Amino acid sequence: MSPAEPILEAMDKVKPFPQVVLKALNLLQDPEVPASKLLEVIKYDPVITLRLLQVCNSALFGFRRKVESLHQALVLLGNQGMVRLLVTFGALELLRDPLPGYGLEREELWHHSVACATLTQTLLKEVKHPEDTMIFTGALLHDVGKILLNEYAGKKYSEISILVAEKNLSALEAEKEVLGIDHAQLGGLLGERWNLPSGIVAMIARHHEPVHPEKDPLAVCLVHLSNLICVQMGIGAGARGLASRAAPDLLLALGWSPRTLDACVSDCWCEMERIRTLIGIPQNGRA
Amino acid sequence: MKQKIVGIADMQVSSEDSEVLVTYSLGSCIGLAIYDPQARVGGLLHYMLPDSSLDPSKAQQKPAMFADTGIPLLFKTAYGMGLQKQRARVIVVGGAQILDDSGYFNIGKRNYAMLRKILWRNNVLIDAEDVGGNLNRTLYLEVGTGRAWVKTPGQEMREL
Repeated sequence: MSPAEPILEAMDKVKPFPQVVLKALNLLQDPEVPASKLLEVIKYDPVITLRLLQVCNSALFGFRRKVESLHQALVLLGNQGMVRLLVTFGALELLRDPLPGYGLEREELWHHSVACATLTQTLLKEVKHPEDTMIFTGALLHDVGKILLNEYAGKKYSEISILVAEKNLSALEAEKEVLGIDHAQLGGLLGERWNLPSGIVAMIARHHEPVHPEKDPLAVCLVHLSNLICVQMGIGAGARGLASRAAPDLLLALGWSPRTLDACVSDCWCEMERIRTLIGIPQNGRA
Repeated sequence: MKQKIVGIADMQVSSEDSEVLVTYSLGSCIGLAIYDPQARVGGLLHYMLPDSSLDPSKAQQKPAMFADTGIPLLFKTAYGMGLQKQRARVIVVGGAQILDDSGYFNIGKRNYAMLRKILWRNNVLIDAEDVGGNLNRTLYLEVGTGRAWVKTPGQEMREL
């Protein structure tokens, strides 16, 4: 029996993906979707509605008037902005638990995910593309496989860490060698089971692959890159996050210099500072 | 012991005997700790990037973001509290990097190189260091004693 079999069987135990978020994402596949349709989907979830209104009234947005209804919020944020907030908080339930198998404390994976999602939007600017909520969401969910693999990675913690330290394997390669499956692959399977849009599944499943902008979708390249930048900055790197392999020549193919990368690091930090109070990240950058 | 946390792109200097300065999650960033055992003054800086010419306005708002603005600020602030350069113990931790054969993701190395350059120019020697590799590190400095520790995932604390 492959060591991955019990892990695949355990997929049934994972929390379901929030249906409101899924519906909103599917609606947003059509860029012309009327706001009224989005409202229709969100308004039946009182918890999410309340949360969205709280956030809209926080200092982060600095709206002068009190935002009292979802309709008002949607007018102020736009469809894309609204769905981005929705996925950010929808993912909190999934990503908030501590993951000792990865050396991540409570909410640390969520902070890492929000940082990656935010950074993809900075990177999009760098390559002269408009903001993109699907890429934001793919980045937010890229490590979702870890929530299931955590238990197994925890049991084999030393074995995986030794392979990384002594055999020069990446954390992902070591995980695959010991557990028979890695968190990217498993996350992709979870995404399929949740019926997430195929573009998002690809971003999750391929975020550690040696992607190249001439062969692979830009979305997959940017999620790969934003993850690397965030772990390098120490945001949610956990036990072995820095043992991630960079896709060779990705930055060269994007035409970036080390200075471009530095600028992205610095912008990402400033953006995270701005939203730190919103998502409650303590100043140390760690949960 | 009271922990005083130094965030990313942040700095603290203290002469409170009961305090421990701590900075978490040093990846490619560098944690620089300085301590004067006579004045019992300790400082800790957590900078992200080597060179402030990248963005002078950010450097002005947040000098601790860059090596070339953060390091002088750390020393100056500590001098103001009685630290003397010739007595100072200097500890450097961090500067890690991901697995990257192309050498593009070398922020850690560049951060370290800039530190060496600045310290060398100012006749400051490093007393202890734990840098490089692909480890995520936490650095502690006990202000009362000047003792410093580094912690990496899955390992015990190690005194530097």
